[in-house]
Amino acid sequence: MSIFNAPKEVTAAPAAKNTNQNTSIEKKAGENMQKEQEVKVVEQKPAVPNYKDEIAVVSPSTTIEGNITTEGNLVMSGKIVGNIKSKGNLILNGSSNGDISCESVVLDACDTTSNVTASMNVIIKEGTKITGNIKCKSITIVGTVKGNINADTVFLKKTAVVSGDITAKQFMMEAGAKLKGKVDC
Amino acid sequence: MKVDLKEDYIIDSFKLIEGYDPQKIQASLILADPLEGQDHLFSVNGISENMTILSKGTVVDGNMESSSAVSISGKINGNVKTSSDIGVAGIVQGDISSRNSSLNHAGVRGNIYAAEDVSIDNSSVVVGNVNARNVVVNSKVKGDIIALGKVSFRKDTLAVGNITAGLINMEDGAKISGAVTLTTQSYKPEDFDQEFKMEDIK
Repeated sequence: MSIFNAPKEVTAAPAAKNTNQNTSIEKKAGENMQKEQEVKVVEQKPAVPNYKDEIAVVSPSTTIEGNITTEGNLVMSGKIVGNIKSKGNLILNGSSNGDISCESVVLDACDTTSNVTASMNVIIKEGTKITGNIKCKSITIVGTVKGNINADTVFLKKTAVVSGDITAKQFMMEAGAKLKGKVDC
Repeated sequence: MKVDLKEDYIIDSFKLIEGYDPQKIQASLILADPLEGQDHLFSVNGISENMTILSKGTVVDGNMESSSAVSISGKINGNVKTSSDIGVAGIVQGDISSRNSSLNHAGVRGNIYAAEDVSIDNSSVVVGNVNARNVVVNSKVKGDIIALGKVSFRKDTLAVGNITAGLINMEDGAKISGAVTLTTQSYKPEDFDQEFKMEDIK
C-alpha cells in the first residue's frame, strides 16, 4: 500500500466478487449460495475514514497562498489568499481573499474579501467587515457587509451595516441597523 | 483585531453555530507536540496558542508560511516554511523548512531543511534531500543527507543517497547505500592525498 496514495487507516479488504451484502452465515431458502463466499462473518464494505469531527487550525501568524479544503471543521485565524472549502463549520478570524464554502461560518473580527456560500448559518460578529456576496440558509449580522445577501432568514442586529441587496424569506432588522439596498422578501 | 486561539474561544464560536456539540469539539481538538514524538492520533483537551494544525482530511493546495509550530496530519501540495518547529504525520508534496522537524509515519516528496534537528521515524518515507544540523533516521530516505552535526541511523533505516556528516552513528540492521563522508567542512578527495603516502611504511 503506497503511502502516497492510500489513507493511513487500515481498511478491511473487501471480499472479492461477491455482490451479496449479507454478513451472516445463515443460508436463505431459495437463494443460490456459493460456499466459499459464506465462510467469513466479515464486514464486506471497506471502512471509510470519517474526518467530519476533526478541527484544523491555522494560527494567526500563518499565511497560506493557495486553497485549503477540509472534510472537517476549520478555525482560520491566519491569512489566506485562496479559497476555503469545508464540509464542516468554519470560524474565520483572520483575513481571507477568495471564496468560502462551508456548512456554517462565524466571522469574528476579521477583514474579508470573499463570496460566502454556506449550507446552514452565517454569523457576522462585531468588528467584522466582509466584502462579497453571501448565500446561506440563515444569517445574523452584527458587523459590516458589503455585498448581496441571499438567505432564508436574515437578521440585522443594531450595529449591523449592510450595503447591498437582500433576498430573503424572513427578514428582521433591529432599530439602529443600517441598510443601503433593496430587500426582496 | 486578532483573537488569541484559545480553546474557550473556539468552543464559544462553534456554539454560535446551532446544533454544534461542544463535547465534540473538545474530543477532536488535537494537540500534537512534534518534539516529544507523540502520536498525532491522540486527542488532548486544550490547544496551544499559536499552533497551526492541519488535521486529517485537510488538504492545502499551495504554500504555507508561518512563525508558529505546525503539525500536519493531512496533506499539503506545496511548500511549508516556519521559523518554529514542524511535525509531520501526513503527506507533504513540497519542501519543508523549519527549526526542528519531526516525521512520524509521514510521507515527504521534497527536501527537508532544518536549522536544528530532523527526526525521521516510524515508517516514514522521504524522497528528497535532508539538510540539517543533526539528523536521526529510523525510516526510509531517498536523497542526500547533509548534516554538520551528527547523523544517527537507527535499525529500521533505509538510506539511499550520499551522506555528509560531522559524526555518524549506526545501529545494527540499518541499511545505507551511497557515499559516506565524515567531515565538518567541504572537501575534495584530492585534499586527502597527503594522508595516503606510503613512504613511512617499511
